[in-house]
Amino acid sequence: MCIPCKKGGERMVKYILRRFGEMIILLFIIFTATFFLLAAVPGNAIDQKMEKFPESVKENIVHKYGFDKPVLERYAISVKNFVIDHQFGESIVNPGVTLSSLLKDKMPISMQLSARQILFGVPIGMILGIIAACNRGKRIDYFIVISSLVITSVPTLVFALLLQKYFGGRYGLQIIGWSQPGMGFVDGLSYTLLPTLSGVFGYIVGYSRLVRTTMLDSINQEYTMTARAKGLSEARIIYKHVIRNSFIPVCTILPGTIAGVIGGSLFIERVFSIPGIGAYYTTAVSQRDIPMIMGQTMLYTLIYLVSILVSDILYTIVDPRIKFQ
Amino acid sequence: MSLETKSMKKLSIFMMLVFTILSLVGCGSSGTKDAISSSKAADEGEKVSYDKDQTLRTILFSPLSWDSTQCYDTSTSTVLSAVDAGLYRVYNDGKNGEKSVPDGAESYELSKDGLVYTFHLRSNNKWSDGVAVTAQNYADAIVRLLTPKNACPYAFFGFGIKNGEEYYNGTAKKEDLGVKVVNDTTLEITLDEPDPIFLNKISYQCFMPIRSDIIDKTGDKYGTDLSSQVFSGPFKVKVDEYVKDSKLVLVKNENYWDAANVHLERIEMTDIEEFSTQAQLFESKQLDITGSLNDYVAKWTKEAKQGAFRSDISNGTGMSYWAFNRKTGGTSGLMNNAKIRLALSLAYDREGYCNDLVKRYTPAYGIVPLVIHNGKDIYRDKVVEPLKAAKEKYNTKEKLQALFHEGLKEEGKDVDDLSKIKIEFISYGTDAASISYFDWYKQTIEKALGITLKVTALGDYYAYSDAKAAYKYDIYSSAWYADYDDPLTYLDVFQTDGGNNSMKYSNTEVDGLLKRLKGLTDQSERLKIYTQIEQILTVDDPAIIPYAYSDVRRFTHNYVKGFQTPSFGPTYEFKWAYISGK
Repeated sequence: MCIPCKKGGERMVKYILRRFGEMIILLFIIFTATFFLLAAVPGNAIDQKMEKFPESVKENIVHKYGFDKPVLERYAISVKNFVIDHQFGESIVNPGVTLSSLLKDKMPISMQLSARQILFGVPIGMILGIIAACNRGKRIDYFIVISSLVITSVPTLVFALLLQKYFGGRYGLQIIGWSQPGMGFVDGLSYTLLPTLSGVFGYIVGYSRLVRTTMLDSINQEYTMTARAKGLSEARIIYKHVIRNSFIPVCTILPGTIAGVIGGSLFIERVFSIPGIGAYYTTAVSQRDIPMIMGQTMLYTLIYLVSILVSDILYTIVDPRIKFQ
Repeated sequence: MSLETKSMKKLSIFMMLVFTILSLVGCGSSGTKDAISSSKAADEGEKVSYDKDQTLRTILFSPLSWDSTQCYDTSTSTVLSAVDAGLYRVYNDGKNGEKSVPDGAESYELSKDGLVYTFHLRSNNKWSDGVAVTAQNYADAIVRLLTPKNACPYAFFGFGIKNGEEYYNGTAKKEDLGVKVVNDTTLEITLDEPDPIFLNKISYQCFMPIRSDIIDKTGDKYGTDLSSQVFSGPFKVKVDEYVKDSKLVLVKNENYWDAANVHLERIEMTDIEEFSTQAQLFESKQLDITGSLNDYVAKWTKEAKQGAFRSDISNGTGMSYWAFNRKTGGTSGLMNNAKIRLALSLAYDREGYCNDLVKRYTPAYGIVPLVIHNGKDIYRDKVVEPLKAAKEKYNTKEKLQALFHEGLKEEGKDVDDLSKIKIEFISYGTDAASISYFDWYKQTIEKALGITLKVTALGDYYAYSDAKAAYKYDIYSSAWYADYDDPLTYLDVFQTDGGNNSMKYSNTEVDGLLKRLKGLTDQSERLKIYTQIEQILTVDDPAIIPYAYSDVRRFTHNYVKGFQTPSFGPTYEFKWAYISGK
């Protein structure tokens, strides 16, 4: 692996700093755009709640949440809260819930669930992809490709429901819930196994297909032929030349996959009643819960931007020909 | 190309194995159906026996705020009714209708003029921390509810209290409020005018007692900080087991005045959003009560008939309707004509809607649903639905069309071909069920009247609300639920310029009749007035097309006894529930 030389290191630091600068500008633009888009969309979080109330009560509630202020004033308040206090405010629909309370109470559970799926699914998927590529045209290749196709077409929700129906409540496995701190490994597993399995197929299938395709591409390259002509063993060819070169696309996808961990698995959390962050974002949007939409939008944007930066850095490590500019 | 090596072969065999196992996990099935215990309830007789394990498991009711004066939704109301003791509590055993029974109060006296309620509180009721529940706690709640800066959603429930509305609007002082603490166990509430449904209102959770010492201590965090809360009701929250929006456990409150008659030791509420998961838990008895979703209704109703569990259907307080745009007369310009509105109302196939389309609910030929009382009587037992006679009169398509033509003539817009008349209808919903309803509306109305119904379905509630406020339609769809148990909660909506009168209906006769109801306590007089108003609103000068009264469906395991589902406020009432024969 190429350890960047001093000059390269300086360049890398500069590059990263510049990217962070761009990121801050971009975040601010997205903050502003989200704010004004939300202001333009009909309805607000308290409309439905107040539908039946007398006028004086409605006015009072509108005033309490500041919806009677002009848009620009509300924007100024939001910017101030965001820039100075790093706050997005309390949920209007669900008092007491803030972005930080979600990060503290709900996100760790979602992350545990997704991390298990990734740790389990991504390596298996990659290994299967390698096996399929190495055995192109053989039965095992067909088996992997066809099974992938079948599994891809089954939605996660269906996997979750089937697993729950046929395994939940049996073999010591729980129908709903999530492991709690202090639970032993086996007890914890009785909660986590089915939700983990429900989501793992997506990763296995996705990564096996990706790796298979990119490996087949590398196998047909001239450098592979050269390596073979040199008389290297097949294992060495695969390990040293093919796999490494086929990892660039994986580097593009992987940080995104890991960033996706934060979002949790909506359907799986729903089916197994896992107290994760799952539906909070979509609910916030459908209920026009502006502080929560703003907070979560900014969070996901940040994570996404960082994951892009990480993939760009990974490129240069996997393929030293790619340089920072 | 052969790239296999020995180690790769080994690896691939291992991976195949893993893969196969995983595939099996996903697609394999043991093929056995979930067994449902068909054993009948252990005790079908009258003898009451209590199981040792008194735990009830339900879906989660997630309180939006622990500040009872902020209560406005059924989830919060359900939890607060379990952990708080109001002056009175709603009792509904499903047999004799709904009534208010003493809870925090032992009794009350009403002055002759019907204005002053003197509540006598129990001296043996304590908060969960051992402090006595006093009249001051109830009085503080009323003041907090009406303090404008708190912006309590149900503040208007206190507007009937003397100077309540004035204090809320800043034109009266706190001292002028009609709330007086005589001593620790006596509370006097004075009203502006007699209100026959005051006891009903005072049972709502926004009037639960509060502790100002705790509010002072917690400040802004009062509504969200569970750890500082104390409870006066039959149950209290087990704080260490609470996971917001996920799990709530209630345990018996030994300090409650009637603790001896509270049998449940523990209520476990778990958030289960996916209905099929609820169903599985219910079938495996890990959930004791569940609602119902269409997919399961037929199957479970059959199993309930065989005695596996109970199926309960009760009438609800909801009334679904279509309303006419009276602000502009609608895009067709025809909505100001009473005959046209009546013809449209009669063209609605109410039986078809309930029996064929949604396969539930009760067809509505009036505005006031089946559960609402007028005094001690059920209103609908005393008053025949006004649209029934009208339906008899216009019982053929020809007669209906003739009525519509009459209306058109009055408006000077008569045409030979009714299909040229276009009526615009707005609603919202983009799911398959909603779309099939809209198709059905179009087909049935067009068939019954020969006109053209243009249906516009907005994406969500907010877009619909926006479109509604723009008044570019003839008819919109909506539903109304009761705030309290009296026909007035449905009928005063139509007062000219009323806050909820978004169809902008106006009828001087209705306004006059509503005015006469103010302070009128004679129930038979009230009944007469309600009957007249309902007749005007549905037939003489139709404001809306009422078409269905809602219902409440629930499946309960046989071993759950004494469990109640009130029509107002809380969804579930746990106080009298117990487990027997699980």
